[in-house]
Amino acid sequence: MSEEKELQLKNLISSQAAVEASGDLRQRISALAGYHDSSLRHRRAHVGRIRFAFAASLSGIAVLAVIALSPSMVSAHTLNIIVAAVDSAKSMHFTMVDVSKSAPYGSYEEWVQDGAFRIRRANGETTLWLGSTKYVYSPSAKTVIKSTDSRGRFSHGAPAFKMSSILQGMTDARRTPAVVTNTIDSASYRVQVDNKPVGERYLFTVDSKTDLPRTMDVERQEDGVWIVKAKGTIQFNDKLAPELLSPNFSLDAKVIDADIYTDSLSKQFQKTLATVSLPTGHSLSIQDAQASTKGDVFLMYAGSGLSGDHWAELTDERGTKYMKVDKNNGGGFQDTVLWLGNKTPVIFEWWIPIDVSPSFRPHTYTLRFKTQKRVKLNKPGTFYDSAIEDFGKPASFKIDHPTTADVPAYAPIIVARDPSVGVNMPTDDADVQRVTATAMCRYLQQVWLDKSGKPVETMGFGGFATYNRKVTGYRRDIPSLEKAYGFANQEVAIDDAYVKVNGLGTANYQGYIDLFQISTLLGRTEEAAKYLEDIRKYAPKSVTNELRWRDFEMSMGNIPAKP
Amino acid sequence: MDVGKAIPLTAHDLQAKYLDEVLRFVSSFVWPLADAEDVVMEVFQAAFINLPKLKRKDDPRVWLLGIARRKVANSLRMRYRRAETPLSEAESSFRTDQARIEQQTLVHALLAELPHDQSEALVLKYANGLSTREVADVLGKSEAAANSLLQRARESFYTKGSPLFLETTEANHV
Repeated sequence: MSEEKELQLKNLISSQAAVEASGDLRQRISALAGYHDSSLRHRRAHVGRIRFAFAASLSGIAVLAVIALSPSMVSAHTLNIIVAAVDSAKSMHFTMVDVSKSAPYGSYEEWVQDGAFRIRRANGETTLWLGSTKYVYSPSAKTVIKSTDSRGRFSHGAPAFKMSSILQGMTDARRTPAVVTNTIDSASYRVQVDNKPVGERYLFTVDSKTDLPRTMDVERQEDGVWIVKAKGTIQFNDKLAPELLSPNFSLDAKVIDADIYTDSLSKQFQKTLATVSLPTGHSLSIQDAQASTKGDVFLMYAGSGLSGDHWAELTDERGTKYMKVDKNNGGGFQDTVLWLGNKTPVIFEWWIPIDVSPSFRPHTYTLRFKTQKRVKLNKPGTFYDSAIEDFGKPASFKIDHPTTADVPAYAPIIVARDPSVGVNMPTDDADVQRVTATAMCRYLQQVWLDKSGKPVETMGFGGFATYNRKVTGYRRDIPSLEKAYGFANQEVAIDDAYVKVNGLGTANYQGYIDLFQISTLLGRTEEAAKYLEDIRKYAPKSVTNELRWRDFEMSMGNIPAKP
Repeated sequence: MDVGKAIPLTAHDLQAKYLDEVLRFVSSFVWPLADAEDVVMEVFQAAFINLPKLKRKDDPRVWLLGIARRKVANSLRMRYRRAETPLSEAESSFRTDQARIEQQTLVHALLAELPHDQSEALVLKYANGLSTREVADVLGKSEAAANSLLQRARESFYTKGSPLFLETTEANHV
């Protein structure tokens, strides 16, 4: 009886436990294991590694500060806030790993030593700076793009590792974080930095003797409780393996010298295809126009006088409108400026046809620039952008045949030359599809109709506010919204597959925002409420705050209230 | 063999061999499954960092479950401060069979009701299939103390969960 009872007990207890780990969990832990095995290999290769404890002169990095300020990824802007400092470490190895399924950061690893800097993402994409030479290795494209950035990675001064320097860096960047410091024991103390705009906080454990941080947790608030989303570990003063700080990547990767490449491009751009004028009278010359087999258009144009107040418009002879891919609509990169030999800026742009064409057709395209008239308000020195637009003189050009399946060969090279980190040009079909779906979805959401029924393009939330129009006509644009809904679903599906393949933490919450907005506009309130939950789960607080705008619209009765 | 030397085990080996094992332990205390997976992730994060410290004399399975034990305790402490998800809702997200859900829910509730070291001992013994010696190692107790703990745990579980056992026994007699 006793044995029988114990057997029942065993069955009961074993049956309540999960039997097998999901593929997703296996993948996440496998990515984590990959990092540790690789760093362990490097360390084992240097059994007699030298420790430079309490070393004096320093080249460190405020990468920790950078991460703290922009945890999603380091960017050109945040790199620029690096503060000059003499610090107390000779090398640094930083590992950042998503520990939560809903963490949106993406795991990555950084190494710094003797002015060299390397960052590797979970998917293997690696950027290496050696002085003023930058290498961008893409395992999927099997290329290493080498370029020179005269400013170098540490042009803003030697990086700082010390906790006090990191906090100073944040203060200098005008973030003025709320900092709480607690003593743990005689050997260490803890620093908590609140990053209120994004609803996060960072918890550092710091060595009291050296003031160097050892660990960093990124936390987000959920249901009033702070939850650890990502964990960073930092090792100082290990002598890093030489191969980490040398430009030896995969043997089968093709090395492209971007400087030589752009010199040859500048020769190619001697001829001007067409000239387009700005409303201000300045003119730009279109140097190159290519199309892909999918019908996307890639333009490069040179000239000056272009400011942020100008919007380009691309159409073809059939009236098809094109949407420019940029950071605001899922492209992940800004218009890239290529400086040619004579210091002429050449702007690279990627355009997607709004009417999805299954394949390329020869077209005559028209490019024109517009700006909005500024109207002075009663309050001195304040203006608003009126709906009245000024146009420059358009330019027309023809493309007879496609030259690429995805993006032009030059695109990833000039994007890799960008001095910032984390700027990637999609080079394979899946990536291009993802960007396309995202851009289309964003565009179609932003097509509104004014009172007279005329389509009005807004620039998202801010654009809507400046138009100051009571938008009631968008319901008539249901077919576009249905299309946008399709693209948003596609976007989420591709994003999901993307993060799984690359071992990242979670899908991009932006897709859920798209689905929420569109289903709200379509009157599918239950569905919208579901997506709103997803957004609240995945998005930082700054984003969820932005959604108050939607609540406002609901309260105005312009769109149905939440169930 | 030098038992003091670091064990030549990679992070990949560790996760390949013991991931399911760790999940079994964690999911006995933490649910829904998504939360349990996050705790498992933390367990392996800590384990990978400390892997170079693992000695040959150490049993990686016992060592990992020891880490898991501490992470589960942390997670449960956090839960006291969090708004709890209704059990039925949480369970239904990953378990579909109604009768099974009811039984699992009851077992979860019973485990949660026992003193934590008792439920740990039961899960290690019956869900993870550890020997009493190994249970003792994970819990940091002597084998005799672990044996005694297990006996108390079994008695508590039989008492609190008597309907479960009675029904089965009666069914067998019929």
